[in-house]
Amino acid sequence: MAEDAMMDFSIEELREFLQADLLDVPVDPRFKERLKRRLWELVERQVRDREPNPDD
Amino acid sequence: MPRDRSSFSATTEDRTDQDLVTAIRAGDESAFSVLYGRYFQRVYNFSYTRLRNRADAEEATQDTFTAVFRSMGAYRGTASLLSWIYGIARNTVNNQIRKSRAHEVRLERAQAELGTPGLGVDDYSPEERLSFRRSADVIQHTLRSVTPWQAEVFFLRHFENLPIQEIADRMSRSNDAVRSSLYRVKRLVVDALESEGAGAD
Repeated sequence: MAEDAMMDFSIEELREFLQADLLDVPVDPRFKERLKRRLWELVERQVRDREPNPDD
Repeated sequence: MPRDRSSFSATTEDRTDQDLVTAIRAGDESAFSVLYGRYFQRVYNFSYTRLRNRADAEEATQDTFTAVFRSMGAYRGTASLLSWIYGIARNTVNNQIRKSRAHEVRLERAQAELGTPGLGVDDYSPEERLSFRRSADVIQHTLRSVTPWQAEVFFLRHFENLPIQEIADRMSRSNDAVRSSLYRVKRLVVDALESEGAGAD
């Protein structure tokens, strides 16, 4: 995703995002942990795929 | 002299977003944990505020972070990480709202078609028209209780009369998955209609 496209929003919208910090929305800790594990697996795969093949 | 673990943790927690991104790209799990912890609640709060239910907020949060970490290699630092993540979260949430609206429009259309007996409507008694209306409400309620994908398959089959193969192609699923979903939803609809009929007696 182009970083420029990510900048296509107003200060008001960004403020909305930051104001969400003031909320205290309960989160299912199992969801949070499960997502963290999946994301780390994704990152690890990407790191592995970027590493040069030692046989090359 | 090696640093003790507590000072290393404090150092990791204090790192800038850019430093964390660089470290994550190199496979640093502690940096990943810090970044995830730093932004998770913010993204979740924002998603929940816009979507107003936990399941959708979880889906949006998952989609946002998946996009963030998938495209982290392309992040160049011209925008702050906060605004970059926010942009992804905002687009994810907006897409989800658009999908829900399309789903609602489809449900309303299905209800309108079900509630209209077709040609010769004047041939039906008020009781029969009321029965059609009740059935339409039951079907719509049932379709709301299944996943959007399952509701869409049902709609494509029974309101747009598409063959199974075409539905499978459109939804990128196997024919068996489509058939299985249709069977399940039809079962739910039939059970709901039977309960409604029993209740109305």
